[in-house]
Amino acid sequence: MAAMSPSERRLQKELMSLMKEPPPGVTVDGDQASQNLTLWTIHMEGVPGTLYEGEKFVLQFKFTNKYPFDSPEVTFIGNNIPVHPHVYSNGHICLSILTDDWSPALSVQSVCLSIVSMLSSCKEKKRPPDNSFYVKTCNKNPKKTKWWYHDDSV
Amino acid sequence: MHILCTICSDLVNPSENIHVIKCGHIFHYDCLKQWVDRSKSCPQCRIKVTNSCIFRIYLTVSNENTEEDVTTLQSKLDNTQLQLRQAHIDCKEKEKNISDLKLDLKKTEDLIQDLEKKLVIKSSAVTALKEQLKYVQIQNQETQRLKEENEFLKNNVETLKGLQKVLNACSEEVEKMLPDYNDIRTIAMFATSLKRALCDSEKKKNEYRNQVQQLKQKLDSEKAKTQKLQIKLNQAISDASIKQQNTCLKKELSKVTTHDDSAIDITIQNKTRENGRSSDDSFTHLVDKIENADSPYLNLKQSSLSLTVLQRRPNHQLPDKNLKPSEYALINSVKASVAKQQENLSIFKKKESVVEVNENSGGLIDISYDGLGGHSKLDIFPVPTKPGKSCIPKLTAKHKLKRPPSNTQDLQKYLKKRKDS
Repeated sequence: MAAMSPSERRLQKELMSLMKEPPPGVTVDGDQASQNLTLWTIHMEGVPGTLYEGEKFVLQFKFTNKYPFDSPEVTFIGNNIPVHPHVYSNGHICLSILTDDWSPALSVQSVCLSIVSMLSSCKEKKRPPDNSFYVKTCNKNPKKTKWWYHDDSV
Repeated sequence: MHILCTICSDLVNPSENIHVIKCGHIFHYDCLKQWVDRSKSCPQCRIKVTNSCIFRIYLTVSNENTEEDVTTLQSKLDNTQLQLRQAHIDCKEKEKNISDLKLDLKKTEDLIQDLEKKLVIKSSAVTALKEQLKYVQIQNQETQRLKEENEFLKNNVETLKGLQKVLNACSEEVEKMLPDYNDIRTIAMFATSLKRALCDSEKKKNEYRNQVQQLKQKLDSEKAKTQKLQIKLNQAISDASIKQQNTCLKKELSKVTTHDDSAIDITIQNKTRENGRSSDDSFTHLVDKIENADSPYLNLKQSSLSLTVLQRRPNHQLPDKNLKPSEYALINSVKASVAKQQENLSIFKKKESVVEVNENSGGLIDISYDGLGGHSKLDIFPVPTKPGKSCIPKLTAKHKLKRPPSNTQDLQKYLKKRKDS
């Protein structure tokens, strides 16, 4: 217990707070996360009143031992990848706070809220314009992609 | 008053190194330093941060505030819960480890049992194999021994072959062969064996020489014996011939004195035999010649005295030996009766009796002239000599039987000897 690294301590605390006070429509797979603190699976529901109402998505968080200074690797997994202009069909998400605009003050909870907000603000369900090209050529790790954040509105 | 560092999300203690950015956000110095090294912005408000706009602050907290407020308790609870959770996780892990280890243990035990069983089997197999190995080793030793023996025997055979060659071959071949033998012992053996063979042959030579000498001596003695015997034989032969001649002469003398006619007959026969005994044809031919001659002195055909006696004699030689005693007696009686007639008929006998002359003349001239132109037949009382006349051939046939058999045999013997000698 004493040998826990600062990253593990913070992840443990975040997991506790997320399990205790989760944001609406967000649930964390606590058992899996406590087995392996560096790999979390979070279930997310489409917010009522939006285009994704009734849909269920699965998010995967991968942390390095340099968290929170390093941003987590966040992707949609499973059969249902939300159709969204910033979400590619392989699950990669084009979101600035996950790469360039990451800050150690951010947390899993704040990232989840950001994604929910991103989905909720969507006005038309469509794939990104360069989806097929990106899916063919991209790296497995979305953090390696040099994102061009073209649209800040969503 | 409880202040949180948003980077590590831990409480900030007044005793710790606390820094504040000019925007007013407070962090642990270590946390802020790590972040500023990466990105020179405030983690909370993203204001540009430089080293000159970061300040250390010192907080003075009153010691009077001892009562536990909710936040502190909450934080403690959180920590404890976290520890508990961690402990649970640890416990679970340990339990899992234990069960895993138990499973492993069971597996290992099973494995051990299996292995023990296998070990038993293997050990028995090993003992069996050891036994086999021992047997094989023994066999191997035996084989090795046999091999060595074989090698030794081969060498022996080779040396013996060489020896054979040395003994039998000529010197050239031996000289060719000898360089192949490097072993001094073999060559020495060859030499000794050759010496031995030489000695043996020397001995044999001596033996044979002795044998030859002995045989020569024997031969000489035999030769001397044969010479002696030859001399003796010659003497004996001469003695025998003299004796025989003597006896023969004696006999002849006696014969000559006793029977003149027969002696003459015999001498004639002897002469003819001496001349050509084997050719009876020539003899008979001579007799025929005499018979058929025109000479008035030899008018034998017309005379009653025929030479048939001479002609037939050699053809009627009866084998006396084959006769039975009864037959012999019969023949003797016949001989005796015939002898008398023969004596009368023989030309070598003097015509003494008148009766015989008459008889003979009567046979030929049975008509007498009376001088008156007639003739009268002499009336003679028939005597039983007539059948005797007709019996002449019969008598001549038995002419030889008339002679005493001993006499003829002696004569034949004498003739033979004479011829042989």
